[in-house]
Amino acid sequence: MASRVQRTPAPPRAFWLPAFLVVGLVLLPVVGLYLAYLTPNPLVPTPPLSMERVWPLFGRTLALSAVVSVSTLTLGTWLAWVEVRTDYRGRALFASLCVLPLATPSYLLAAIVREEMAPAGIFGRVLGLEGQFTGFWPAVLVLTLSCTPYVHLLVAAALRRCPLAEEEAARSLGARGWRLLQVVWLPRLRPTWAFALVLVGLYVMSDFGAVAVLNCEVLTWELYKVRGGRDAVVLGVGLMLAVIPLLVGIRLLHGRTASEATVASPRVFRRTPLRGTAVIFTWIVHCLFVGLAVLLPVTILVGWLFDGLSTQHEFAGLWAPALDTLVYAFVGSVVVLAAGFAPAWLVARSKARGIRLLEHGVYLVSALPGILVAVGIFRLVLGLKRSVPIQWGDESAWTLLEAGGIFLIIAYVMRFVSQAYAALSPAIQRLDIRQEESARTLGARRWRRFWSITAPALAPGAFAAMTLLFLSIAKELPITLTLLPLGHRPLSYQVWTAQQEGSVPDVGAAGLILLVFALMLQVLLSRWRRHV
Amino acid sequence: MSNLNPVKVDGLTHAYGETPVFADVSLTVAAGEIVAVLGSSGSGKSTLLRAVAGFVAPQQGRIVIDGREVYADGVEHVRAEDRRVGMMFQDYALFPHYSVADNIAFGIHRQPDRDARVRELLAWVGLEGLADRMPAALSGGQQQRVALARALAPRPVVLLLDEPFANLDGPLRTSIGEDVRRALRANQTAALLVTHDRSEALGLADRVAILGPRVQSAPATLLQFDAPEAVYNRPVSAGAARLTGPVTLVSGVGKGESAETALGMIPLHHAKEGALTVAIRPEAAGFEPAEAGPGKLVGRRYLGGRYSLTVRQGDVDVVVDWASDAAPALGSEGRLAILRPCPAF
Repeated sequence: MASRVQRTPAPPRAFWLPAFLVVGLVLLPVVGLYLAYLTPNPLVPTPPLSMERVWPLFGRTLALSAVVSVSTLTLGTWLAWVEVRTDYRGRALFASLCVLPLATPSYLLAAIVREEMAPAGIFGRVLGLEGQFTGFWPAVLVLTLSCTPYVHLLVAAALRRCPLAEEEAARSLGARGWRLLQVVWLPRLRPTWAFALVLVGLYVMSDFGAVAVLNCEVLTWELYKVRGGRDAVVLGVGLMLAVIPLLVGIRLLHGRTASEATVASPRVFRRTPLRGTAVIFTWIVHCLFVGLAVLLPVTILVGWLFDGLSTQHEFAGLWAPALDTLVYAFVGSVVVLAAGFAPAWLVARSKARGIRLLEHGVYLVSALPGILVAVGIFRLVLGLKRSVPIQWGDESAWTLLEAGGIFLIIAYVMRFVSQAYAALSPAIQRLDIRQEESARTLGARRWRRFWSITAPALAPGAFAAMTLLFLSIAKELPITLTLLPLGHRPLSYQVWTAQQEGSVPDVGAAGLILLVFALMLQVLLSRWRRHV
Repeated sequence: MSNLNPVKVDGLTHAYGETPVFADVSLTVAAGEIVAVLGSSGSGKSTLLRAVAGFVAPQQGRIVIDGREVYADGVEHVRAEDRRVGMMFQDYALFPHYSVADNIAFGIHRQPDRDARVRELLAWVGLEGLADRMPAALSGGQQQRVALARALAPRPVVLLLDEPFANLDGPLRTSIGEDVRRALRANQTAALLVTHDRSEALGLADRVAILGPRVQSAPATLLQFDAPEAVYNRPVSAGAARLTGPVTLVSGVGKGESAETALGMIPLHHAKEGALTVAIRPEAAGFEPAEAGPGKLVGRRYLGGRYSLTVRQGDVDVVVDWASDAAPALGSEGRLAILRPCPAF
């Protein structure tokens, strides 16, 4: 049978539908909020919709983002500089340890800070603090610790990319100190800083766990509190309006930082050795950072666990939550990885005009704050139950889907598909098309080529992506909290409910398992990243 | 091999969108013959090879492999998987997760004599002890031999070679080139070799197809298709002359057996009349030092045992071979001598 052939290996047509479905998921929360607007919950009073309630929350959210951005940029840049451009005893160890805070869930850190800075807590007693340690500044502290590794990694990568030749040329022309910084480093770092600022801003605006535990009145926490009421519509819209400029900024700036990478210099910098007080200062800052973000949480959680054991506290069961975490994180990571495959393949292989829009769409879907996705889908399910009643036997089909965790998994796909995409995309782009062509000339058809040539080449990237997704889903809070089927309690849920109930030993037990597990996966991911 | 010409390419024309690549390319490859496609970078020679393999669909033309029309005027009749072509790439494209033996067996995995064939090919390429090695553990030359064995394992009708020796150094390049030639002759396998290296094309091929450069919006065309000696000694155009070796081109007027040029009368290969261009190869010219001669030595490059001299006579710079370990000093005066008849077009 004669057929027209393509100039280049075109992606299978069957990939377009799942790719568009993934991008189309962005509409779900919008539709959910729209349904909430159309059909207010009859059980909850329906105040008139007004943006007046949004503005103070909006202002506080912006202020929190701005303060955390500045603090993380300062600390992250300094950590990156001493890692890349200086040499001192323990540098490699500290460089590895500084990435570990990525494993600590912000809500767990927040719970520890809140408890231990309270008047009865260790630090509260030592510092003589009175009243609850909650609100804006505690949230700044916790989010700074959580976000600094992102800035650190971005700036360190940018510093490594800076062409050594430029610095040498400037030095040979007499530049030093401030002039060297102004001429060589600032132009190179500015796009990365801008990107990091927007990224941290988006992270802070989207964060739910830390601000909820620390009762910092910002958009995400308030949205969760009113998720069943009509105010959810205005707060959801307000949150969406707040993050959209940041999303646009991220996409624009990401392109610029990526293009910087094309001028990478393979030459290694000569590091400046640190001596005396400089080394001691560097050690102190690193120890404080790693201690506060990793060691302290582990120690405190162990302490809470032993307190519970010594007081013969009746612990909530841990096997079922651990198993729930494993099951949801595994199923979620497999589905999210599969969802990211089609868009990644299409963007890498399709010559269609505007194919990059598909990539922007994937990032847009995942950039929506978790709480917005959660509340949007929660309201969508409520709306569908009321507006589109479909029965399956005696039960509503929507209830069955909800109980089966389908909406939870869809929300995980929305939240994390960009992680799958970001990991798969370079792996697909690195595939050697000539190997596929060799296989074709040797008679291998599509499936044999895929399983014998493509799949083994993609496997390491896919496995790393799955580990990252597993870690992200295991730590995830707002979606899990809002859409989890009844009767299930993964560890993140257990930590949340235990800290809400003030059961510190239960937070210790569940949190410790979650944290140790997350740290192990983070170490694994960091090792892989080094080998990429 | 039943077909006299296992590969026939007829009037092949291709463009990438609005950008033309090549036009009206026709050539044949006989059983056991190596045809080299020689062209400058961007002339579309790799695209031509990929069209024969089935990875690129030209807009017009016909490709026949082993008597079967595999492609004609935009319609593919036989897919790449079924064309019975073997392909060797510049960077070998070995499957990194397969051992040497598994790589060679890839195209014959269903054949009952697979293991024997793999052993036979391993012995032939001199890699008997390396069957279980992974490609990353091999040197460039060994990887090249594995790629050759893998491509030949299914006994293809034609072997397509896309700059396959470009990553090898001089002596290895020569020895592997000879191995390939020996293998193809022994199996009576046709081969189409793409290269921009004229010494490789002239040294390895039985016939050379010269693909002219693409100029702005004009596609590349086949300038000449002939034996290596013919394309070198009797180029049919300035482009073909330049692509096949160093040459000095001089305008003149044909006067039968010789041409009148700025350098004086130059004997021609074939009698010609009227305006023409004469191609002078370095070995067809000589330099005779003489006081107050019309020529002057303006360039002098030592090539090991011989020199390449540039002699300026009138307004023309002529490159001359000087087959001696001692050459006249720069600035020496003398006379240019044409030692043998030159081609003209």
